Amino acid sequence: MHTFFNRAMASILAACAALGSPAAAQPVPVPTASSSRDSEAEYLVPPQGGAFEIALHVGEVCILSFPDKVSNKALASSPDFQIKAWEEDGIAVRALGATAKTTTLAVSTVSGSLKVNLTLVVVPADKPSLKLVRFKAGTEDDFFDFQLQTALAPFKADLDRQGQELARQRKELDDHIRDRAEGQTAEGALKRSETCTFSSHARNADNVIVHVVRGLLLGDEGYVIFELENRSGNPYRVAGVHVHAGERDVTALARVTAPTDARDPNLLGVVPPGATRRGVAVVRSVDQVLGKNLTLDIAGPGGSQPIRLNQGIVFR
Amino acid sequence: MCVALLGVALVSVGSHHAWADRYEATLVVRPTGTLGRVAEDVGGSAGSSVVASVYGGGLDVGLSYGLRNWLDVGLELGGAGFAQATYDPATVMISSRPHTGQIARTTRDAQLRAGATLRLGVAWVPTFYVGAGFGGRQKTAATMARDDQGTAVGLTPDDMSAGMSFDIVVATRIGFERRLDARWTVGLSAGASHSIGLGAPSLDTLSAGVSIACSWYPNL
Repeated sequence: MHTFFNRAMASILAACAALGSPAAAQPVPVPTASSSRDSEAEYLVPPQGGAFEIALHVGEVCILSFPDKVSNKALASSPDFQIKAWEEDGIAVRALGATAKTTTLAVSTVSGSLKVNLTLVVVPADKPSLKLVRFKAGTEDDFFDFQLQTALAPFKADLDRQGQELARQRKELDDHIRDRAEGQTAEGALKRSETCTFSSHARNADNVIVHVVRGLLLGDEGYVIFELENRSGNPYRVAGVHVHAGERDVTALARVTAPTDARDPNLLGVVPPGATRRGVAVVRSVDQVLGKNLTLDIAGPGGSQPIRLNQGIVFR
Repeated sequence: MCVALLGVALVSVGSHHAWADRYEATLVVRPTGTLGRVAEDVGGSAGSSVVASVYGGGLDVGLSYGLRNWLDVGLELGGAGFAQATYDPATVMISSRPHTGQIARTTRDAQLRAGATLRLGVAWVPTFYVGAGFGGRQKTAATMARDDQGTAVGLTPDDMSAGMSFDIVVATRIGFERRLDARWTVGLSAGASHSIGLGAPSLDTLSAGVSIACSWYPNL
């Protein structure tokens, strides 16, 4: 991955350097878009004008469309091409024979905002040709943007592909992890699945109350389910939830069903004022603490606003 | 005072979104100052009572449990003693002969009530209590200090010797409490009670007091 990014960044920097170099100060007209039909094209023309090659089939008419009224001075047919005005802002071109020689045609609009020199080339029937060409007057910025987008397009496509691959792999990993977790849960449920009734309540001086009224024995794990009731006027930030058996911390992990503060990833959750949220603390290898009185400690960042429940929580 | 407390309570209710104290047990001690209106059948005819107002003091002790965050239920035991009440003129029978004069008597009162308290706050807690129960009144022997002629008598009228009587009690109280921390609460309250005497005249009281309460989760 690093190699790819290094290569991509080097190429992007090189492209940008090239765009900013004196050689790039004279932009080359390039097509800006192609319709779903290959026989149409649209060209962005810089202010100083541009040169384009128009491929034609013998006997077929190609319409050249301009954004402004076209000067009639350009409308001079050659022996090999029939060239006529098409409305005020267009020109119709037709190759008269298979032996028609390549011809150039200089066209400008009356306002002078767009000037192009077109090379009319007759191609065999098995080669693509154009039936409609639209010319648009662009600024230097438009042209620079286009060149930048063109230069970056391959890398962007490669990045997109890599991103899709990464997302696919991540989804597979997530699926695998979920399957494994569900499998362990199912195996645990087969081994043991019992609910426990607790009766433990405590509050701190800030009127935040914790109720523990039930638990769950599932396989080798015990779950202490609690409710956090915040009766204070301020949010209660939960940073630590720990279950102790005596002096030993037996907590595997804890969760709180409260939206976390995105600014502090160390928080388990934030209980808004006046709200009640549920949480759970998981006790791993719960068989070792069966029958023992457990202590549940909940606190905010840095151990602030602690709440301790030290009776009524016993897995049996 | 009651109006002021009620006003503060209503303002406080409007400023809180949460309520208080489910699962919590509370032991409260409430010294009170009391104004009693003690009636005695000294009006000269059967059922004719004369009421005397006397000051007194008392103490309430209550134990309650939070059924909901906004509702406590509990028991209260209260006692109050009153200054000597004087009934003048009083018409009583002494040795089966009617006498009119000044009668003096002292009453002590005890009440056991069951009741419910609305608790309408968290840190600042307006409360509203109603309760009912039984009461007992201990009365000293009444004494006719002097008759209507101003003559010292010093005798106890018939049927007014020292004794006990029992009441059915209804009481109400409003208060305002401040929670100091997880355990301690202090407050002010004002209340009234009406004791319906069982074979005795009624007793009405108005009381005001301060309270200090200790709360904990009994983990029943």
